[in-house]
Amino acid sequence: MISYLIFIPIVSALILLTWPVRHVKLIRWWVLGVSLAQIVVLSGILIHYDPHDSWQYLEKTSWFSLSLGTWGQLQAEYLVALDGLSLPLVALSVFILLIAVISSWNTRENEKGYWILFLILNGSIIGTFCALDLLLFYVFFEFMLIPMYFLIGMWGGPRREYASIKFFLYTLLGSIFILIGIIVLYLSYQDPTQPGLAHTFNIIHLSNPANVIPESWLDGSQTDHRVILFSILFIGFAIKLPAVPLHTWLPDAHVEAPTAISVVLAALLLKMGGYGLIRFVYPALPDAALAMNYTVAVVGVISILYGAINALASKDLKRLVAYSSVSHMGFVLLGLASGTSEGVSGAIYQMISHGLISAMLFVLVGVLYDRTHDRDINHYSGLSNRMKPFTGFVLLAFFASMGLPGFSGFIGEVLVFLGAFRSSTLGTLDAWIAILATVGLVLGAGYYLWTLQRMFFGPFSSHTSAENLTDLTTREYVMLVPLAGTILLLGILPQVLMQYINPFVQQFMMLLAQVTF
Amino acid sequence: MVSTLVFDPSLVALTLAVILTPLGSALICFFVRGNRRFIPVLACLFIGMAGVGSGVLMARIFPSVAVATIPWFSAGADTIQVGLLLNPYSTVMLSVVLIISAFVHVYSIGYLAGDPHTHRYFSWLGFFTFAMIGFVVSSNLLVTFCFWELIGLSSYRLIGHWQEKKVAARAATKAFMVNRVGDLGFLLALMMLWSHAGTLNIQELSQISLPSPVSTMVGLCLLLAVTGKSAQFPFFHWLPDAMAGPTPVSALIHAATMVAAGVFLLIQLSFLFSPMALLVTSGIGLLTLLIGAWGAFTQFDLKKILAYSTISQLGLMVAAVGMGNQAGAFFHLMTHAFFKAGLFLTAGILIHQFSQPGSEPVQDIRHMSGWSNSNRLLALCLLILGASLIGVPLTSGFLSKELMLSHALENASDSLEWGQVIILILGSVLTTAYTFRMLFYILSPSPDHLAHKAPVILMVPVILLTFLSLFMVVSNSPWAISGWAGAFEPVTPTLSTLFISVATVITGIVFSWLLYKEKPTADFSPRQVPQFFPDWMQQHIFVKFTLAMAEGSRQLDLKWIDGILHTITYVYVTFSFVVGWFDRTIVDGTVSFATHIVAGVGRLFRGLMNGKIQSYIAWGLLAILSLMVWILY
Repeated sequence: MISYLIFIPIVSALILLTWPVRHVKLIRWWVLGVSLAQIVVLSGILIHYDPHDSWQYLEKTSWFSLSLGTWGQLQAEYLVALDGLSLPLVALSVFILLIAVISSWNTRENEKGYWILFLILNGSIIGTFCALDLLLFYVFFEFMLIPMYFLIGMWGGPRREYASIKFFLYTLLGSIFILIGIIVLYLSYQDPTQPGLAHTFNIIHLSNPANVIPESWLDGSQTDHRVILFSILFIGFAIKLPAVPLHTWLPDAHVEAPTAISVVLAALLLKMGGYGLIRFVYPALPDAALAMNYTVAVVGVISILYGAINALASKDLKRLVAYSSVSHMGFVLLGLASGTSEGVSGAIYQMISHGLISAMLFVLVGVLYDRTHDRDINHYSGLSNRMKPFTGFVLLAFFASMGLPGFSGFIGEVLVFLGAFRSSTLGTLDAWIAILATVGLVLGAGYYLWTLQRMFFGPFSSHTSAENLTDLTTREYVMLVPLAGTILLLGILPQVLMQYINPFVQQFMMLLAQVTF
Repeated sequence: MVSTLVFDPSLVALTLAVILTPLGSALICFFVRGNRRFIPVLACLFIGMAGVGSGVLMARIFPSVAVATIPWFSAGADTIQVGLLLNPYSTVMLSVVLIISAFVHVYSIGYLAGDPHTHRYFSWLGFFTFAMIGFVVSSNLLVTFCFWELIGLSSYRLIGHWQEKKVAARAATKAFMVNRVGDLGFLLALMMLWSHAGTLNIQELSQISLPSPVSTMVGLCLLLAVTGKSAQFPFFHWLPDAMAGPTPVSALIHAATMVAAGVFLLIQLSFLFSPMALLVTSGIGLLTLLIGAWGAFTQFDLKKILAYSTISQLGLMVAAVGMGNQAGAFFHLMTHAFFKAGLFLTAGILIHQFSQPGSEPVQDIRHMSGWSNSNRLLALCLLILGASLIGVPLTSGFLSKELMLSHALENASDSLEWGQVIILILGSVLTTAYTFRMLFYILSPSPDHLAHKAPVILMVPVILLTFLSLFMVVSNSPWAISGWAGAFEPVTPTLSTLFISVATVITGIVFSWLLYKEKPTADFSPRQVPQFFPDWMQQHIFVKFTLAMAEGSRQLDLKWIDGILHTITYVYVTFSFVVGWFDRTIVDGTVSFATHIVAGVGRLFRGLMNGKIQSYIAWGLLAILSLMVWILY
């Protein structure tokens, strides 16, 4: 079932290569059909998914197995499955990718190329979240970069070439770190079904410390080695997250990317960082993670505050939203580093919630940009006089992003706060870390309310002509209403999502608890 | 406060219906398009029904305690519960909020008659009522916090209702931001309680005793939340600015309910406070009492006078809790809600009368006199409401002041506590004085008088609130609390406290009269309205500092972090050019050099074939000679 999700878009992309250019208008309907087909498959998966069971919908085939003579065997499998962490992320991906299709509906230049690249991106994203073989994970992880490079570089804004190459090289650098980590992990773990003969890329086996090859570089007694490896992997994923100070690719990439691609970038690609950490870095190296918790938490708090302060200084609306993304992902790091179950579940909840909220924010910025091509906050005043429903959605999205209760962001953030503070009483972190993180809430309210005051309230004025400022079209309603509805649903009835996350978190905490010194 | 009632399903259903009805009103007002005129009436009906429901609840439950919870969500191993806690304070508060909300709804129909956005207004009014009620009856502090923030959101939207005006937008932003700073305190208290007590359920918390440093910190953090929401020093400066909203909003939110939410929280959670935290609480309260009173003296804007008066009275309530007098603070909360809302609605009528449509509203007390002859009923109401604020006998305000004064006097043992009593008395005198200043200005006869009467729909809520400001609502006797309110076990006032109360009232009146009797236009107040220090601090120090930091971070990101990236990139590209040069010139150069050698040698040898026999013979001879030499040697 999962393979359908991954390969329908990729196969469609290959088919589309042969599509005649004179029928270009039909392509986007085909892509819409692909997205809807993914929704149908996802619904089927959800119906039969049991939250209390572990890995479900597992598909395993051997991929390649090379005999390297005296050095043993190099083998990788095609192994995909869903569990409490990946199911919500896959559901989020399918939903957001549908929104992105609707958002890019009016792309006209090089339509065929755009949609083909988009479909490849689609398949790779879902593949990354489902893959349980490290090499497979890495392949999908890398496969996202190439379409993104072209999508930003060809369909983006004025500084698109700079932004796309900065994004590509910076994230590729991160991927190199991750590759180093993967190789070291591979060489240090053995396949329990063929002990002594084969190493393994299998993430499930990597979580079991019994599979570590004795006397290998990552042997249980070599804590400094493990800490070094953790740091390398952490840097790689921190670039993706992004964590300050490795974040500067994000504002440029977001600002220059077309709206739909910003949506995908913010909602999905940023989650890869957190996902990778939770999926295999923390379970494989729990003792190193424990030793580094303080550092990770400090990085998280710095991201929260620095992102918020920079958002306050932004004159471009999209840049403001980009920096607020940096700030929100800091919560994910803080929650992870707290080492408490409410902190980790808050981190995962925050990932899903931020995916929805940032998608909504970028769609809203796109609404304005589509009309006037001007995102400067100081060029507008009193937009609420002319665009009432738009203002209503903006209010909803801004308050949701600030962490107001009733929206999904609050649940994630409050759980992170509770976990981070409790972790200080348990001795892992210090109290000032959690206290400083709460200041992020005030800063968040600051930049959003100031933007509302400047751009939306007061008497109407604008630098571009007022006729352009028409209200929301049906297409925009179709994008915004489901997003708003889901954000409200997850804010009022968190158990809807928590029922999937909780079993995973319990298992995760047990993995972390098997720290052997 | 003694027995626990079993919460049977019909009562739970009734409570939920009471809570959700205002939400329903809000949603209908927001989403139903079409005929706009019946929507406000519908909203009033909904709130009225909810009010009736709350009355039934009070009759059935008061004065016992009823609790019901269900699980909301679980994170890891812990489950957060959501539920209802109806103790005497929350049951009564429920009715108070709904009564005032109902009156304000009715009043708003008249006040906002020509407004193009009434559906949005009534929607947020209903949503606010829902949030306030939810806050009052919630049994879990996390859920309480949720409603606390939603109250802040409603206040933001209601203050900024006239969103075309920059003043309103700025006031709304200021209110929300200052509240947010207070919310940090609430959040910190939640975090501490979660870590040290393991639960956020109010009833469970009351059974746990926390170590002293923790309860001090929790108390101080909750106090921070209260100062933000209830406009205590140093976070009070948002409240006078919030008067930019419509007057009924000021009556509901910024006099009676939202700002009272902080005090209510204090009353409910005072068991969490250590003695040190309570001391700080009473200090802040007393300081605010005096600052607010001073502020009311210096203002000419009618609404701002009432706003500062509210700040001052809230300080009084906070101080009462700090001195251990929860019952007294709650009583004053209740009586203040009624008479302050009445005062605001009266002010609204006067502003309505004096303002011309299309121009700025007239709110200056120096220009609002001369109407009392044609509006005697309104003048009487204003007098009674003012009397309740001052604490004249036969009003409810008198009873609540009595309670606080008697408690303070009874428990005064050391000099600190006597100092508190003195400040209370001083505050009382000032309250009387600024109220009379206001009344002297407004009620004085004037040559140009206003002839028309106030509309009925605006008068009815005022009359009802005036009635509620008399002693009959709270007690059977005008001198001491008896009747239904006796369940709170209030302190019985002694003759000495009676004497002191009456004396302060008389002193205040005399003081005020001496200042203003001859020339109502001359004033004791300073020439310019001073900007209070916290406001000045916020505007000039905090905001400027934050913006400077923001600009600094932006430069840090662009010039330094990105600068390092760009430098690395330049170094890398330069290095690649160097390597390219190396490749072209040296490596390739070596290859080319080799080819040049080969070509050179080739050229050399080619040069030998020049067609001249002489050279061939010469070279041949040279070759033979060389060969001979080589063979021989």
